[in-house]
Amino acid sequence: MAETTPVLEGRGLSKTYQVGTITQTVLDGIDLTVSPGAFLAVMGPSGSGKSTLLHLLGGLDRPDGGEVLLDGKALSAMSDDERTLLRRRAVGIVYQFFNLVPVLTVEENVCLPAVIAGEKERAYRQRLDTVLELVGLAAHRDKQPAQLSGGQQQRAAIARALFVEPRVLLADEPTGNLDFNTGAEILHLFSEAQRLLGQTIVMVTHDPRGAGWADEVLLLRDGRIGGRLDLRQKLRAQAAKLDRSHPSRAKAVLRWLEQLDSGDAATVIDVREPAASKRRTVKAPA
Amino acid sequence: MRSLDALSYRHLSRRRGRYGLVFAGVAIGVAVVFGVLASSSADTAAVDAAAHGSAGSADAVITTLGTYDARLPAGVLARVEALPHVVAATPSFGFRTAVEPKATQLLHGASFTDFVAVSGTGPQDRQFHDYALVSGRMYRPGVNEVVIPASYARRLGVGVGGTIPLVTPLGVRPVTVTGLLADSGPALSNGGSVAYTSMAAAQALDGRPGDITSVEVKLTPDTSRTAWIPQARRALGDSVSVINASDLASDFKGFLAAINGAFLLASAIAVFVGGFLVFLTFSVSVAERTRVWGTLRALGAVPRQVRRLVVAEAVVLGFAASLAGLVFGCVLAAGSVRLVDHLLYLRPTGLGLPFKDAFISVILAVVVSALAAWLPGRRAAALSPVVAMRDGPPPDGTRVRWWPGLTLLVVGFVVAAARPPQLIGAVAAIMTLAGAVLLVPPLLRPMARFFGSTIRRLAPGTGDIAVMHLVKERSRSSYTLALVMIVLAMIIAVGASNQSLNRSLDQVIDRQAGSGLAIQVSAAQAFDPAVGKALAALPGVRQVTAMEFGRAEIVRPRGTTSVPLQVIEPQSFFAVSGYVWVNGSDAVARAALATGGSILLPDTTAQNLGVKVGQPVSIRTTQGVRPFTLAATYASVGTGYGAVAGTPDLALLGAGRPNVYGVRVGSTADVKPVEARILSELGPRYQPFLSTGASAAAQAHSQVRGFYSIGYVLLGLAGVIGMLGLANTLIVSVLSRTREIGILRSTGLLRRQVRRMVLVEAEILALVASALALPLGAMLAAGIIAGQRSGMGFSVNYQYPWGMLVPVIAVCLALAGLASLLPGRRAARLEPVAALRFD
Repeated sequence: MAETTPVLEGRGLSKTYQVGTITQTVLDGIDLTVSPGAFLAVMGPSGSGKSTLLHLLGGLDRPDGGEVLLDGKALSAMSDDERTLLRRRAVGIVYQFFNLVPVLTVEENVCLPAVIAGEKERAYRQRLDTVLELVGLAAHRDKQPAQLSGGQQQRAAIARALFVEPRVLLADEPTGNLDFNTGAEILHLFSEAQRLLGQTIVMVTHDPRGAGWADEVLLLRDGRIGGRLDLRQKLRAQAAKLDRSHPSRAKAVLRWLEQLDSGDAATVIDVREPAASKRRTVKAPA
Repeated sequence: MRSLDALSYRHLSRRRGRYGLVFAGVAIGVAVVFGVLASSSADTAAVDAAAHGSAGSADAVITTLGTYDARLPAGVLARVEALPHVVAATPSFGFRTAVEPKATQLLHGASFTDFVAVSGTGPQDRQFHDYALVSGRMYRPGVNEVVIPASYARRLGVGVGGTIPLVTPLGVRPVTVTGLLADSGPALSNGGSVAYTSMAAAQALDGRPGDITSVEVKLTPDTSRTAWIPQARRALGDSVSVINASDLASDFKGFLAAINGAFLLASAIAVFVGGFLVFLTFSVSVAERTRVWGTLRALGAVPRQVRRLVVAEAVVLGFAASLAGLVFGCVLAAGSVRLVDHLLYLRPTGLGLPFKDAFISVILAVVVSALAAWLPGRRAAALSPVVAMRDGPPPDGTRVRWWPGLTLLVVGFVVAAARPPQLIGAVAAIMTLAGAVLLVPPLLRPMARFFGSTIRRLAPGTGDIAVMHLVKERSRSSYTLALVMIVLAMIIAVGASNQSLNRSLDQVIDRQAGSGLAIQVSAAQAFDPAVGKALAALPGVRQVTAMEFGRAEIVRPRGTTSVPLQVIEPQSFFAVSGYVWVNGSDAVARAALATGGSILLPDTTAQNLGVKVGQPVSIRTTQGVRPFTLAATYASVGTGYGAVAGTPDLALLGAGRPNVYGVRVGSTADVKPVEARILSELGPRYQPFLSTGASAAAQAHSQVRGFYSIGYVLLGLAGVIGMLGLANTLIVSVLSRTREIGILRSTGLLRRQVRRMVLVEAEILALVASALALPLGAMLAAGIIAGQRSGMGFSVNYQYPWGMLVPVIAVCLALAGLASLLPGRRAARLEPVAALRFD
């Protein structure tokens, strides 16, 4: 029977920062629910509170008001150590700047959460091999971050986040520091994780093409929810609109949607109006 | 990776250059501590061995009061043997004399090893001492035969079967060497210048048959020495001195402990500076790795794991560096032991295997490293994981406050100035230093701007950037500056104490030696009283005064204190010699001593006893404990100063014949001829040692110089650590500004301008550190001088070493320039494009 209880829930989340004498409200009464296996993108302009929301959801920071529930457990009722231990077990985080420890190899970076938890190597060796295979870094496991490309470093960071088999994977602008093609590869990886592992993902991005990989997009504006939309539904509507004027483009959109659904997307398309559109092809990762 | 600790080792190996400097700093600190501890142990062992050599297996020694040629009252041996708990008692007769030199020579500045202690042993002596002969045989009773230490035989150039011409009151007497002793046990007595013979032979040689000078006592095993001694004193009366055998050489041990304490303070400074270097480096290193800490926290590491990671790095570094430091420390210790043994006339016993000292040094290094890294570790652990997601380091939110530093500085200084015990004094010194360190951040900005306004003219444009950096990176600059400041302040403080001591020494010697117009004539044993008249009759001699030296016991409610005793002729003494008065005058002293019942004391002794001028002091005399009035106090520099009494109390204090004559001549031109006449008059009979103000000053200054040279070496090493810290900070500063240097280079800054920018930064740091070190050094010097007063018994008048300032600051600036070379070169070699890409 499929899980129905939300993995992650935010109720009336608010957060303010004091900058000198000025009080700045970053989040103001955010409510959201993330179902098991969902892929939610959080979008909004700079300063809209995207990253702060992610920090609150991951228990990295405390809200000034409201409540975050992970698997029904309220994070605000926990001490710092309890939240840290929960994060260690149930939350995977991927950052824009990878945040790999430079003195450790790929393999050591990936298994770092287990080392922190004091697990024996034989207990996690199998899991480590699997996750390195999944992200395609098995051949690079003994390299240090500085010996890898940006995309490979982000794959290592994703492997580290997936390694703990988290209840939720949080990603903060994971493609923000990567070029277009590499970014697409990383997004494909997220999609694979969702499709193959049923991984629940919350991703902050300001790139609409990145958000296209998500099931649902939460729009933030000045710390409030500006809208929530099903992007696939919107893409289908867009394809229908293009069907008469530009039938070939409408077909491409539909084909891409099918590929997305099947997890076999090899193409990223721009869904803007034809005058500004530009088709770019990327190779799906092996 | 099995555990998170592996991350510590990786970080250490990743930044080998930077941690290499810290490693060197900690290693030098450990070397200094280990060197001081090991040499202190070796010197103490040498003193203990000498004391043990004298006492053997005796539990207590009954000896004479008063001057060196005093004797024990008749029948004392029988009374001692009759005391309860006495298992065995052996009498002995000892006297101090000299070996006739091969050619008549003028001897200046005698030390006790220039004399020979002749010890005539009683029949039961073998129960107390173990004479280990390396060749020959023991002496026969009643015959002029001696056994002497093998090393002393080498010094005299004599072997088994050879003879020694011994100066005695009856003329020069040849004694035959029948055996050579191994250089241990009894052979260590009197610094190795000792000759053992039978009691009868010794009495005959000194012309005092039947006299004994000491009785050694062995007690039943269950008897408490401390309980038995007061009983023995009561039974034997006050005319003898009863000493616990383990207290032999206690005043010498106290002096040695004070010297070792001073060296330990210097080594504590080296450790403090080393710890500071660890703190500084880890502060920078932790700030650099902000994102790593944030990432670990985000991945589920609890704060204590992060803190442990940082501290583990420091512990590994401290441990490895301390092992390297031990090797260097052995070299330091060996040098220090040789020097101290030479200065204090100790028979060296060698370093041995100082495992305990090595263990203490390693533990100290590890603990100091861990403590120094604790604060940076706490900072790393306290970081919110959210910072991991941010680009760039977190803003420095540290507020700069005046009051904690100022409070610590003032409290530390006030406590140190109040002449507290050594341990509290050391804590007060550390408080003063810590206060000064905390005051640096608020002082840095105005001072850097002040000095920068001059210095930046040397490097137009780049000088302004250097000043800006110093002010902007205030915490890092402040700590480096504090490091250099502490080292400079300590060098200035030790310089001040050295200069003050030398000046006080000059004043005291000049006064006591009669402004260069007096000659002191010392005999190995004692002069016949007729010698005074013979000296007075010599051409060129204006005044002669006799002095008797020995020891006196001051009786206090909580025990007795043995002090040197000098008996003078009040009417003639002040015309030849004198004292630097702390409270008193020649006239007051002359009048008081001439009537009897009064004494003079060194100011430090009076303070330690808690006695003021006009108050009574109880002294053990040949007729029981008597009160003497403290008539005046005088300044002293050294250990040979104690109670001074007048001739009316001569017999009461057990003083016998004079052993020193002070001779005043008419002019300085008379000194040499009078010396020659004294030598020809007294030479064959007494082999006297002559000293003038100049020779006494030279000898004293040489000893002071010797001790201070060890202190300067230790501080010089602390200075090296400070410079390593400066170089380290500059390297880190250049690294963290790589991108900025790229921007400056791309906008037209020349390579030499980059080099100059780093140089200016280093020089401003050194200048501000020097400016702050001047008052801090003055404060610390006051503390050190107070410590010298209470610890070593010196009356030192404070004098600031103005003459040292220019060379010290010049050397500091030169070293700062040197420290900036490598970072400056590295910065200048950066290619703009590569630097701009640097993350």
